[in-house]
Formats: sequence, C-alpha cells, structure tokens
Amino acid sequence: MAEATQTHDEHAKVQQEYIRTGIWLLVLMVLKVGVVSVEMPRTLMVATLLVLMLLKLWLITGVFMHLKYEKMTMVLFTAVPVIFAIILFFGILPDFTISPWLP
Amino acid sequence: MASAAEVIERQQDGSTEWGGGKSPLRVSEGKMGMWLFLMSDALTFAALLLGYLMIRFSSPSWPVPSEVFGIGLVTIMTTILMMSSATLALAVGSAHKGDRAATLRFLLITIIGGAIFLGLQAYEWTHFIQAGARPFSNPFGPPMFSGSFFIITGVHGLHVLSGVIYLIVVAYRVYQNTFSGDFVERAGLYWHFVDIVWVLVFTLFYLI
Repeated sequence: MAEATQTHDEHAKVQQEYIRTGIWLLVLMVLKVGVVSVEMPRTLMVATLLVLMLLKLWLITGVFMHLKYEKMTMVLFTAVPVIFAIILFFGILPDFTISPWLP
Repeated sequence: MASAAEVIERQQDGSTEWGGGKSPLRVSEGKMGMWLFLMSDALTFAALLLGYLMIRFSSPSWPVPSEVFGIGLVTIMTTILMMSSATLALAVGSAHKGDRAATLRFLLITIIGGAIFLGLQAYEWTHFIQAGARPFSNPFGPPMFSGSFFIITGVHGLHVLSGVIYLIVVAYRVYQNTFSGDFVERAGLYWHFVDIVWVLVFTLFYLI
C-alpha cells in the first residue's frame, strides 16, 4: 500500500524543486547548443561544454536522485565508479600517447 | 571519553551508528541494491566512453558529429529524456505522498517520453544506415566513428528500452495500489541514471 509520509506543504515544496530543476536542465541544454552554434576557440568551447555538463550531472544526481539529502558516506560510496574510471583512464592512456596503435 | 565498558554496552544495544540494528547509510535494502547495480553499470559506460574518447583523439581526423547527425533531432531527443526525468521525479514525490492518481499520471507521461525517445533514436539509426554507415565502415571518416556511435547509442538505447519496460511494471503496481514510495524511487534512480548517461553521450559524442 502507498504510504503517506509527507505533509502537504513538504510535498508541494519538493515538487516545486523538481520543476525548478527541470527548467534549469532545459536552460543548461539551450546554453550547450548555443555554445556549439557560436564561433569561439575550440578549447574554450570544450571547457564550457564540460562545465555545463558537470552542472547538469550535479542537478540530476543531487536533486532527482536525492544525493543532496543523503548522508555524506552514501555520497562518497556512489563516487566509487568515478575513481575506477579515473584509474581506467590513466591505465589506457599510455596505449595512445606512448605507442599509438591507430593509423 | 567513554570507557570500554560503556562502548561495549552501546554496541550491544545497537545504539551506535555502525553497532548493528540500524541502517548507517539510511537507505533501504532495495535502494541500496539499485545503487550497487547503477555503480556497476556506470563502470560499463565509463569503459565505453573512455574507449571512444581515446580512439577519437588519437585519430588524425574525425567528422563533426553535429554536421553528420544534425543537432536539431538530438536536441529534441535530449529535451524529451530530460523532461521525462523531471516527470519521474514528480512521480516519486507523489508516490511518497501516497497520491496514487498523480503517481500514475506522471509515470505514464514518463513512459510516453521514453517511447518517443526510442522512436527518434530508431529514426536516427535508420537515416545513418541509409547514408552508408555500418559498424566497421562509413563514408564520413574513420571506421570507428560509426562503430562507436552504434555501440554507445545502442547500449544506451537498450537501457532506455529496459527502463520503459520497468516503468510499465511499476505503473501496473501503482494501478493495483500495491506500491510504496521506495518502490517507485528505485525505478526513478534507474531512469535518472539513464538520463545522466545521455547527458554524457550528448556532450562527448554529439557536441564536442
């Protein structure tokens, strides 16, 4: 059975935050497409896109996935794949920088 | 400072956070299970995306993806997936409140969003294949351009398809009124993860 665990005000506040986050995600997406459409140095474009991407990831994980409200131990726990991805990145990097195998 | 006897006593009655009888991370077993699954799945996508980036930046030339695929369609796909994430968050909120009708309504909107996304992806794949792209060859550039496109968007698309099926099951449980807020939240975690992966794919594959 469904459990009624939130008061009406709390619920309205949470739902408003979800709608606000959805709007922010849209704004960030428009900005990303705008950055690609405007002429600018490639390095600046890539850096801007990466910053906007990280902002979107933070909004989705923090608000939609509730990590903002979880304990710090839980947040660190979910960061484990990021650590492994970094190890993987530096593990395969020499294949491309020291002995490139692609023509 | 607590004496050894006091510490032992607290551990025995389970009053310390990690002393047993409590959930120190304050998440349910189901939610923890979903997080563990998502963490393992994140490693799959990390391997795919890192492999793609390595191939791309070690290739002497690479087509501009936005010119090959057209930025308009991908932007629409991204908007739909992001909005479906927002509607699912609203469904989770409604489920926690115990509002069955609103939960069902938001779930159905999310399912429709996911289905439209899949339809658009099928359309994009069809056009790309008609243009001569195959897994190991394409007329646009290095063979791995199409290879990485098919692998990355294909694996993501399968996740979206699984998510739509999962959400249909959740919606049925909500319809039957045999659900809890935690049950819907677990499905939400999965769907948001699919959205996160798309944010990465959209930026790293289509825009950069």
